[in-house]
Amino acid sequence: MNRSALDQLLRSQAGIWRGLRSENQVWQVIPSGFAELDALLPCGGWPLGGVLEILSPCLGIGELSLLLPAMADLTQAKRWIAWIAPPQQVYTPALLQAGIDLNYVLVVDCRQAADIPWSLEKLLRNGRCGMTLAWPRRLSDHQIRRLQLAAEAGSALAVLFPKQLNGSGYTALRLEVRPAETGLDLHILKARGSLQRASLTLPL
Amino acid sequence: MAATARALSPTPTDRVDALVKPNAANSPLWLCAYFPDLALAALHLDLGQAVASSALSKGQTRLYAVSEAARQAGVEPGMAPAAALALCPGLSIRNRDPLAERQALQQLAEIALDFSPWVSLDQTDCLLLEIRSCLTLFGGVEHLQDKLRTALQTARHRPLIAISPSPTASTLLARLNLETIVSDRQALRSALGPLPIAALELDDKILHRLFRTGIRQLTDLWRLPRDGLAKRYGAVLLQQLDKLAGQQTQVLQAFHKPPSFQASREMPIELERIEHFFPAVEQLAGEFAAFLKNRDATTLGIILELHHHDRPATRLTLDFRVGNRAPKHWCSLLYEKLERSPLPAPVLALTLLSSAIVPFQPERFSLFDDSEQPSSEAEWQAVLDQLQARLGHHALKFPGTCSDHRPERAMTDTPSPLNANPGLPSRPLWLLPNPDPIRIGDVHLLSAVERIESGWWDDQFIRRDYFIAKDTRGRKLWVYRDLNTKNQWFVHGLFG
Repeated sequence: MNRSALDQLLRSQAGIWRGLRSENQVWQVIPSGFAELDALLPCGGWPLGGVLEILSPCLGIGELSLLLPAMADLTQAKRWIAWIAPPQQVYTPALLQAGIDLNYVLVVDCRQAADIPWSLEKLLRNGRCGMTLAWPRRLSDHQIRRLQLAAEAGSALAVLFPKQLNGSGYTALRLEVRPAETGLDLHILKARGSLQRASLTLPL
Repeated sequence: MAATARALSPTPTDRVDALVKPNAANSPLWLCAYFPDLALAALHLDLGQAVASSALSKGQTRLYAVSEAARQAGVEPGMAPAAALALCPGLSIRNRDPLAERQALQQLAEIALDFSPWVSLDQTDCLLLEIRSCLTLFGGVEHLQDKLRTALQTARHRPLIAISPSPTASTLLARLNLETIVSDRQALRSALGPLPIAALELDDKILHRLFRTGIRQLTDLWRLPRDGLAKRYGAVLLQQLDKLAGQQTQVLQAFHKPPSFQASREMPIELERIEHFFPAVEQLAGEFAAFLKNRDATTLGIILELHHHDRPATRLTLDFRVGNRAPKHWCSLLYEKLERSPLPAPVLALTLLSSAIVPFQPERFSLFDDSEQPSSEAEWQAVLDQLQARLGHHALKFPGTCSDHRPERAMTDTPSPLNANPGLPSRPLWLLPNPDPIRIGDVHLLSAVERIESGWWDDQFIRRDYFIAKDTRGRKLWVYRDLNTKNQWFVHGLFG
């Protein structure tokens, strides 16, 4: 069996993951709006059709600013941004300043924590929603897997800001952010399709 | 052969006769029910007491309608409230509500639809019914009149009923409190003869001129030659007379009951499990969808009632964000609701109701837009309906902005057309509903001051100096110094 035949075989098997940067896996992405970050992310942007976990020590260090350019792009493409049970009041003038079209912003109140994954799944699966943001207290591997599938079905980005480090294997991308003197320290802990662990500091 | 042919086809002369000579038994007969106390009854006032409703007329408040008890005390419509109160100290005066009057009249029209298929609301405070076609059913004019009067009085309204072959004449007679029945067009002119000409809807000028020529009653007008009347007083007068005599065809608008749907299914035995009785719900939903499709309508909400033995029925209400006629969507929402709320008892019967029926509006597509929509607007609305059905009515918010300088008032929970960016210094992504007091020593100010001083016109006057600051945990804060309260410092927002 020559090299290309082996390559073909490996490509045809969906269950085989080939480590590092594998060029054969291409999925839809949306540029993050930060060139240095795009260069590190697989396929050059946030994965559309995947779960993105952002681990942040506390609210307000700039973890949301990371997503604002992508949100603006999505609303310009007439796709909705859904905020599920945000921990504080989302302040619309700031969204407007970031270039987000408020006609495509939806805020959902969830009284019960159990409704959060259900709502996320419903919204993600429908293709009109481009991004969901949620701050769940606890999600099981099984639930994250379901979200991942829903996001793939609707080709949307599901952003989770977990309270604790889940360590789920099903997320497409996991980042850790820390405040830095000059901006935001960012560590890529896990990226689907890449073994590379990278760090950078973004000036925000 | 010729005889057979003649027997099969009616002679042409017969047909012409039928067209030319209207059969007296087929000419319409109009019943007018006039409600003199509609303005008072619509406000649910007790007509046995001295009550009145007032309305603005030429910038001044004047009495619009008065009850019989008030009338006996000398109160008349058109009086000033103060004058009326001087005459009748116990008089209670309420503002007139035209909307309530209209709704009351519509309710009465729904009752009237039981008596005639043709009801019109064209005349103010009146119902006009075409009754010739239903006389046989009710056994004569008097019977029908009595039954209608009883039905209307049960609804706590007092009708004055007049019947004649002309809708205008019936209205006129009823308004003049002449409860007569004129079933013949020939008798109509003599029945109307003694009426004063002031009752006609005419210009004051023409009335005055007629009055000066000594014409007091309609009989005097009937006697005059038509061409002379038209020359002297204009065609309007003749038209009025013709309408009264039933010689001019009038086009009246028919009243139709707002559509509603109700259908039920009885279960053969008491059923407890959703899977067992849900097929019946699906059937009902299918029936309702067919009902809507026939009328090219959609619904904004449906109610499912589950009847139990010896217990009040369980009611499930669904409200849709946009008009909807997809039974699958309703069923999935109902199923979910049923799954989440356990039933108190087994189900004996089901009823599906809906009165929120609106015209169908098709989805609009752009002719040239080739960009592929991943899913249709209807599907997106269906998802929002699902969320709303599970999370509650106010769970979905579509925030907007509001042009106010005060930060806490610059956002709304409802979508706003005004989504312009007024070029302010940067705002935080999170706003704290209640600003947190802080010690200024704990934070490090990063930006120049932004003074916000606004709201002196209402009681929420603010005078604050805003800064962007960073705290020891690395959070970017939006802090302010309140100049109104001894320069205290607060955190108002977080830059996420």
